[in-house]
Amino acid sequence: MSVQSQSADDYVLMEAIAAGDPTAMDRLYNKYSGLLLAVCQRIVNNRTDAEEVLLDVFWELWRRASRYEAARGAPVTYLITLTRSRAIDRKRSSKTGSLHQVDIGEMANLNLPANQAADNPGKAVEFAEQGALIRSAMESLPGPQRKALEMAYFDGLSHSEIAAKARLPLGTVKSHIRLGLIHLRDILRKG
Amino acid sequence: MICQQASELIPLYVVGGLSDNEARQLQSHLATGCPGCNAMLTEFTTVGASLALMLPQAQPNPDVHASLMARIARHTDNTEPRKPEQSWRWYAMSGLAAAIVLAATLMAVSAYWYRMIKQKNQQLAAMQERFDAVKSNLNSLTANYRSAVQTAALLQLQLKQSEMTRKMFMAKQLQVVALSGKPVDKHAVGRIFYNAKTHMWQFCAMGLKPLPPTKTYELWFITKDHAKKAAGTFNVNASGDGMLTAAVGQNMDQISAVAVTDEPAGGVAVPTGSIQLIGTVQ
Ligand SMILES: [Zn+2]
Repeated sequence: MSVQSQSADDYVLMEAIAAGDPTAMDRLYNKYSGLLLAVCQRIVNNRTDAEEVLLDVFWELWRRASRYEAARGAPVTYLITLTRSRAIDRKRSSKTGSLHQVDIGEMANLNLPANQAADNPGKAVEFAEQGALIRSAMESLPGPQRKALEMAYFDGLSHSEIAAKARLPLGTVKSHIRLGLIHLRDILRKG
Repeated sequence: MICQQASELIPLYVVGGLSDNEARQLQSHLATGCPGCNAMLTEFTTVGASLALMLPQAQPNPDVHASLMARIARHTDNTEPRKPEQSWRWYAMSGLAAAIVLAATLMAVSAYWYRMIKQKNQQLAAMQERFDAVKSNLNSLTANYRSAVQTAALLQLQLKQSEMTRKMFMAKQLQVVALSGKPVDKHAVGRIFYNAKTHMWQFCAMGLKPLPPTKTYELWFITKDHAKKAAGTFNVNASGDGMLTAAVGQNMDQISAVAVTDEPAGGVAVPTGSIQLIGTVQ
């Protein structure tokens, strides 16, 4: 199971949003705002900034939904990728932005808020299952691979920045990231 | 760049962090449309995005939703005057957040449907217009068809008449009676062509004055004992021409003269009008 196996309904919602249907936007927001806010918070490390980025992402989606290309992946992949990119932009432009170094393995052990995705419990279960799969896949990675991957994806650091922080050769960092993602891909393929 | 180099960079590319030069080279390879590398990019983009799923989901403040839907409502209903942009924080701490979300959503939705309905109505009006045009074309074609059918019937009739006329003029026993309009109008003339074998005759008149619809011309056979026998009524066209074809009830030998009078429409049994044409049978 992966983000790719999200319901086909998302494609319909994206088309309706591109056609200017606000009900579709309402539904997409209810479905994914919790997930996307988590991405924003993890990256910008500030609740208020994270919510502003979230609002900007959905607003951008409303105005430019036609930019989405189904051939490049599922709508949820697009949403996550767009959100990550905007959150990293915000983090870089913000003077208050500080590097977030929480170990994701620890975060994974936190319980989800009881009221998350309250108006769509079925969806919450699905994310929980996928989340558990990804978490266990990440936990199965060697520590340096996992950290390199997190620093690249969530902290938006360049390979040389990661190399400097982790005190590792640049080539090693690249190979950690590559191997980590390939391992993750193999697990998702079996998913 | 070859596919093997590209495939090593793709996993690094999706999590960011490639040098500008590497990223540019990879992008230009992907832009060639290489199917294998593009498929790999799609798969690794999905793998990268999957990392987000391990994060514990957050619960956004309802004000974010309210602010989004309010923006969309203003954006959708572009007839509404633009208000100065208010930060979503304006809604923060407001107990009315849920109501605002609902109102904003309804506004956006109704503006959307208003636009859709307006658009559909315009399409409907255009279709109606096209339908009317087709209908009017059809009506004119139907009228053309009717007039063609009438013309064909008329031509057929004329053909039949000319055939009869030809037969009549070619008959050996043809007798001609000349009528003149001298008493009233010297330009008016008439002829009777009589076939003694078939007892058919044909009368033609030329140069008679057209009559009002309340009147008609009537042809009379006058016997030797001065009895006037009605032989039929006819009208003339705008140039004063008229025709009459009939079978004679009796032998033409008994007829001494032929006359045309103007009579009330429908004709009469005994002449009441004035003589317009007259001729004697030799
Ligand atoms: Zn290639």
